[in-house]
Amino acid sequence: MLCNQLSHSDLVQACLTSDEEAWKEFTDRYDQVISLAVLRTARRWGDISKPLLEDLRGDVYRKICDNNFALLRNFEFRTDGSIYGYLKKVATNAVHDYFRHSPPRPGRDVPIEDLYQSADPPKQIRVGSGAIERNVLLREVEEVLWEVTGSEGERDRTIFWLYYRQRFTAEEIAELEYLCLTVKGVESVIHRITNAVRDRLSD
Amino acid sequence: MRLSDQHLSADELESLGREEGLSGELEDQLQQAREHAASCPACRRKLQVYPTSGAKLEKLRAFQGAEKRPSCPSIETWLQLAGGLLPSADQERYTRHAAQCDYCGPILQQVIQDFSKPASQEEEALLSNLDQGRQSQQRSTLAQALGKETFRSVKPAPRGTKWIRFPVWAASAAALAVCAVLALVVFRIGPFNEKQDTVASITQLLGEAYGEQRNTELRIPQGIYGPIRVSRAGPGSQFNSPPALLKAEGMIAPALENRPNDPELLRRKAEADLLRGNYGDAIATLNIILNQGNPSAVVLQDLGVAYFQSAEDNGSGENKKNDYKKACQYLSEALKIAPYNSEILFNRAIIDDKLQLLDRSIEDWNQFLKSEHDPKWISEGSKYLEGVQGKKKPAQ
Repeated sequence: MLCNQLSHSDLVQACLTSDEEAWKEFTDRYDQVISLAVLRTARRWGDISKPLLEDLRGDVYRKICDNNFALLRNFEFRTDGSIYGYLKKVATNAVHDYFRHSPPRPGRDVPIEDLYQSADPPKQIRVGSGAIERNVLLREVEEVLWEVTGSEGERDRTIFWLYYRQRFTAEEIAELEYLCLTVKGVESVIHRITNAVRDRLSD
Repeated sequence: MRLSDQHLSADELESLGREEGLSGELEDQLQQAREHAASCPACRRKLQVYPTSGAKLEKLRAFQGAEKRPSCPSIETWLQLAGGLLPSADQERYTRHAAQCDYCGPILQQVIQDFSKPASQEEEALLSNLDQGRQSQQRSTLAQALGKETFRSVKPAPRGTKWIRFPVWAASAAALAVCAVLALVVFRIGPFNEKQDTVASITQLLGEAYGEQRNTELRIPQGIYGPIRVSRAGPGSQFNSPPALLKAEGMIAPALENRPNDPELLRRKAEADLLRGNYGDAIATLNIILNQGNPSAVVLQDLGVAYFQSAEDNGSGENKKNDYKKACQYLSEALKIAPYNSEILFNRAIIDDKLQLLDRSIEDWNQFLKSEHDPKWISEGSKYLEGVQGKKKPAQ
């Protein structure tokens, strides 16, 4: 069978046997994924100079090859396509590791999580009567949600909060694998729950 | 057909609240709903307050600057979640946390965006620009690290994977990455291992010998830092030779008997000759490699060192200048392949100074200082740079 016809898990297995054709296919399939993850993560650190991006991408491949390809050997395929998410994670971590261990620059000692805080300006206030009002509202909406979704509606409640509280788009929610919903499916849930919640809030 | 006592549904409230213009059957249904609202106090009131429920939902938005709590997971969890790498139960648990946590929700959203959004035009352009210069440098860098002169090229990548819509840069990216991975794979495992071990050992010994008895200002590939001990090129006595050099030569000779045309072994032989000041023999050997085609940056670097030694040995006059120029030419060719190689930059900066090309010498020194990581080489380079900058200042 040609390498480009192999499943992801079979391809990785072939790579681990040092099959050159398999490695060619490996880079054909996954280099784009790795490169974009490197770029986006480096951009969060504020440095996307060409030489650096080149080095970082090389670092990712070196990490993959280190210790007799331990990263690939130890990877367990939950689904055949999970290799994509895995390589994105490996690439992202490689870039974070680089910047954490670089010579200190202003802002380099911030927690990595802070790099991922949204840049959108908030409309909510944290303290004072506005915060109290919001907390009251949150409790009110939570109660209504339970009424309209029931004890088995954990998934729908999560979707609701992701959409209204965290401002996820329907596309972003659909990326959450365990939901097993398409974008249309997410939109349908949001529409149904929203109408039900607004109906109750209007009583 | 609507029943007379049928109250407004959520969809009807929504549609009436938006006052959309509808037509046909939908408009007929809404008209019946309006008529009911007009006669039903409860529905009329509900219709009046319905817009405020929308405003309430808007106020649910998370605020920025929320603080991390002890129960908040680390970034690793969100990367795993977004990558689909967690069991379903854990995905559900952590997503539930993110949905109601104003600190973690934005993080998960940003990670999902990083992992899932298609590349923008700007990103495609950035990555395309990245690969135009990288291929040669990466090949040379990896070739140096593995003692391999050239890599085989591979066919371009096919298009079309998930959100991938990359144009031409994808082909060169994949080809170059194949070279990197193949070099790492093939030369760690498999039939090349034994040869690679020999070459690696020789390389290490030559590097040590260079540092122990550095006989030239210039740097040989992977030479360990050492102060200059012998300023005049010339054949060195066997008895004064560093042990590492003797050992390296002891390995090179029998290896070359088995593989007389092996470019890696030939290059190591040339470097051993350079360490003895036998620049003539070194040039002859390096020319054999040149004639094999596709010279690598390190071969050109060695030729630069050899002609520099020849120039230094030539006293003064036109021959000296010509040898410096030849050395400079080879190093310039090497820098086209490996523009950020600190050893080659170091070497060319010195020769530029000898040729009174002070501006370029300063440029090379500045680039060298950006590329080099060894503090001893940095210190030496900094002193050279100061010297060149001093020459540029007008006489007092």
